[in-house]
Amino acid sequence: MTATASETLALEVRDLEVNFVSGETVTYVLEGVSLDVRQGEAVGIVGESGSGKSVFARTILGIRPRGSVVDIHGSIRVAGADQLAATDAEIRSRAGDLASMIYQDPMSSLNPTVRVWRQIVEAITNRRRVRRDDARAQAVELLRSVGVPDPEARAMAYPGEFSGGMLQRVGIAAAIASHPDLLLADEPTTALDVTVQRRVLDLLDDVRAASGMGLVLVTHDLGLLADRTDRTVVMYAGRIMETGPTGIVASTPAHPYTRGLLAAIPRLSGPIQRELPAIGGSLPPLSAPRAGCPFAARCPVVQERCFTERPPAVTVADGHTAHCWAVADDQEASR
Amino acid sequence: MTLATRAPADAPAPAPAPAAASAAAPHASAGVAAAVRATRRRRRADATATTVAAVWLAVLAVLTLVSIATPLLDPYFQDFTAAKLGPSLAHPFGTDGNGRDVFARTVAGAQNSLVVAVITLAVGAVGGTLIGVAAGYFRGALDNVIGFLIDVVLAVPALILIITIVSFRGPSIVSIGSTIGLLMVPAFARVTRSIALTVRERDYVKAALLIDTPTPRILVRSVLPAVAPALVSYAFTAMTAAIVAEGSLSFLGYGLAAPAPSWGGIIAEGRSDLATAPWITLAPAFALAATVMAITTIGERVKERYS
Amino acid sequence: MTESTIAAEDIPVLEVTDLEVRFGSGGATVYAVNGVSLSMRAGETLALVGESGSGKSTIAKAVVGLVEPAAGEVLLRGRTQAAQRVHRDKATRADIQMVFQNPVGSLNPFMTVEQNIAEPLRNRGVGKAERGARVRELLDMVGLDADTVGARRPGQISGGQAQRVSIARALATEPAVLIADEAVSALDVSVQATVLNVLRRIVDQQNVAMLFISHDLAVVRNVSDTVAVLHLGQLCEIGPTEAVLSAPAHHYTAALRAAVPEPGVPLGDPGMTDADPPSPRIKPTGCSFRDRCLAATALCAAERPALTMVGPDRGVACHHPLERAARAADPVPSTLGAPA
Repeated sequence: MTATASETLALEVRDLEVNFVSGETVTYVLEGVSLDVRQGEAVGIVGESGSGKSVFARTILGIRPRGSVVDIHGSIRVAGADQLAATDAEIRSRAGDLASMIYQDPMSSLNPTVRVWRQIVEAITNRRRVRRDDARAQAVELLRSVGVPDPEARAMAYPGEFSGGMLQRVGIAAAIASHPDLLLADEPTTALDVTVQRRVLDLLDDVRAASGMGLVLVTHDLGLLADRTDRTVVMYAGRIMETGPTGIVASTPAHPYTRGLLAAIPRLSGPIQRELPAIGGSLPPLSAPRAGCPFAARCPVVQERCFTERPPAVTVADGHTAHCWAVADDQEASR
Repeated sequence: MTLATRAPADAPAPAPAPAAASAAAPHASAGVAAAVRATRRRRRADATATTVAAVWLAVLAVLTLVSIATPLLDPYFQDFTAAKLGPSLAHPFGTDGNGRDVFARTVAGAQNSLVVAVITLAVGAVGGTLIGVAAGYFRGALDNVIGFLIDVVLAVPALILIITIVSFRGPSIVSIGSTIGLLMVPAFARVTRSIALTVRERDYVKAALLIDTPTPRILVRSVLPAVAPALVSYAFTAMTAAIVAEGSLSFLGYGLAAPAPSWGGIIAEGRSDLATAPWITLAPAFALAATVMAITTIGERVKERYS
Repeated sequence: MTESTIAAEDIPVLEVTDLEVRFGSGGATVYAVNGVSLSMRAGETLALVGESGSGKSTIAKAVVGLVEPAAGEVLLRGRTQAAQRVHRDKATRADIQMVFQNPVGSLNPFMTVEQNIAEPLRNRGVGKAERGARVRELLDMVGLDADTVGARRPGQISGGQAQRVSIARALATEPAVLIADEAVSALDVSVQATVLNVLRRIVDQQNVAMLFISHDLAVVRNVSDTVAVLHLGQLCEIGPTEAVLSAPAHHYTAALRAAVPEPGVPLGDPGMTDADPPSPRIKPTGCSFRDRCLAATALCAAERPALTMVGPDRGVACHHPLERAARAADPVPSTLGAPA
């Protein structure tokens, strides 16, 4: 990696707002999300259903839901290139070059009637004329690099002939084929067993270390990120609640939502909890913009202004911020 | 500094004032507004089409009632001195070769065509749903037998079957309607069977088995409601098909026997005079096309509402 | 737990003996469950854990009678149950109830919440007025308010609420055995805790026996008294949950435990090979875990290990169990408490 390349951010998102309009109903999915990912950095995005984490990843890649008009504000730059100003055709022509996605269900992103080697090198052969034998050799090498045993034979197989874990490896091979600057992984191991999940995540680690690309790992499982990502971003109802070094967020979370989330996770170590501390209440409706803090109605340390004023980003420590009025008060008091 | 602490439980939170919510909504932006406007425009266009369709069907219904209740519109009254007259105030659609009023015959034809369509639908939808739901829910041998019978019905050329049955039972409204209906049973059965097949694998049906719900109740409360939306949508399509089928049969001379009026029959009668008295053919043809379109339009709205 | 079992004069509420389940036939046969025996007492939660293909959900379906076993028996209070529930003794049908994985999908979408819960009562001929009162009581039991959610349809409530409604419906017939098949897997963490708390309370207060099926060891640890670890339809290890999870005797249990990610806790040594599990379409021989096991020997391929008792209530099916399993010395944590 050259010095200039390392100065360009793999991903730069500013004040991203995404609204889905379907008929007369508007869903306010993302309400001002900003995120930087450096080259070679791994960032985990954690959130429950309705947090907007998957829409965030999909919007970066230009994937829009069918049947809805999507209204987007803010800016997205992948390796310096503006993603929102680009036309659909431009996004398609450079898809895979700048950013690439690994899906929860690799079966749904692969064509069951096409041999896997063709699908792996599709991103390359679409733009450049590559000799068939060269392309196949490249696919075999990629399969070897993602740990598929007997890659020469497996390259000729169809997606249906792979197990779930192996298929996810094929998905990763296809995603990294064109050496993208940014790799997005949307719940890449949710459909897999834990023992297989671990190997797939190890592979993602290796791939990132070898290529120096940025990685965004989207998951509902905070535990997954330990040791795997440099930073953790916690999302709730279309907003970022907290962001900081992964180890710090997991051990000393600042935001009341992150604290509640961590407390509610059943543990394999420590005392057995006969009564798990649940977070009462439910997600606010996404059919209206959220005033103030979206977590206010469920928050144990809520204040009056949490319902009306949007909380500021409070720097707790270097690289660790929380969007919370209570944290803001704490910071002021300790100063 | 102390924090205003609240119990974390399910206690209702002080709801944010609606004013605050809308104040925080300046980013309900131009894009959202434009998309909502576009939707509204489309909705208005749809609503207009539906209104026109409904008005057409209502006019047809009123005229049919008038023709049944009063002698004002007599489709059989012949006046050979007034044959093949062009449209006028006395005869809005003109007269045919026998001097009968084409308007009166078209209205009477509507009555016959629609009654045939309703009978067709009743036979096809009820029969098809019963068979399809039974096959899909119970599977096994029953499904195989029903599948075989459906294949047999589909293998016989429809026209030959209709002509055979109609010539045996006579060309009455009931026999024509039930025969076309019989031919629609396989289509309804296929639509409902495929849904019943998926519904029986749903967890809520398994749960119903575990709590000892009697089979008839599972069929009525779990399977039929799931089948209903597709059934209703398909019924509109089937109804238009029935109207067209009846028209075609009458046109070929296998429909209602002359002089009883039906749209297809009137069109057939006017065919030979198309060059000299086009109104005899055009009036019922327009009525038929308009009715089919009206039913299709309303069917689309119903389908949208269900899905 | 320990005392109660030693003193066990009481007949187990539910027993499963040498259960075998196969799907399909000929070359396409799937060997889903291959000789599993379990036993449960009232007020006790038995967890079945394992990865996909372990047969844990199939065991549940065999117990309620949704699938027919190829061999083995399901006994309710010592009495053999007919293979399929359609033929089952009507009096005992209500005794085993189940909560499914998909919260909204297991409720009838064409009925309200109240109607859904009233359905089993209606089927047993309970009168309308009594049904209404009982539905309120059941909703209250799972922490829901009849006036708020009672008239809504399943599509209008949250996943966590729907799962609690499912639990209320399952409890309507006062079953002796409640099966929770991945009942919290589809829920968000913050909601999952609420549902788990409801399940625990019901086991304690209603004295039902719960068969808790899950792939999540951390959830199982906090909810069950006993855990049975399954691999490809075979029982690897069974015993008091905390004892099994804190010092596994079977290599598979250890590997499974090592793979569970926890916030802030780096993963330990995988403790297994990279091999995929063998196909369930091949008739099992020897130990099903041997291809993935670091300690496997020729013996593991030749002979299926029998379940051997290695401590009080502690059984392991392994030719070379992990050494720390001189586990008579292993204290059973008192936090678990003995079931009533």
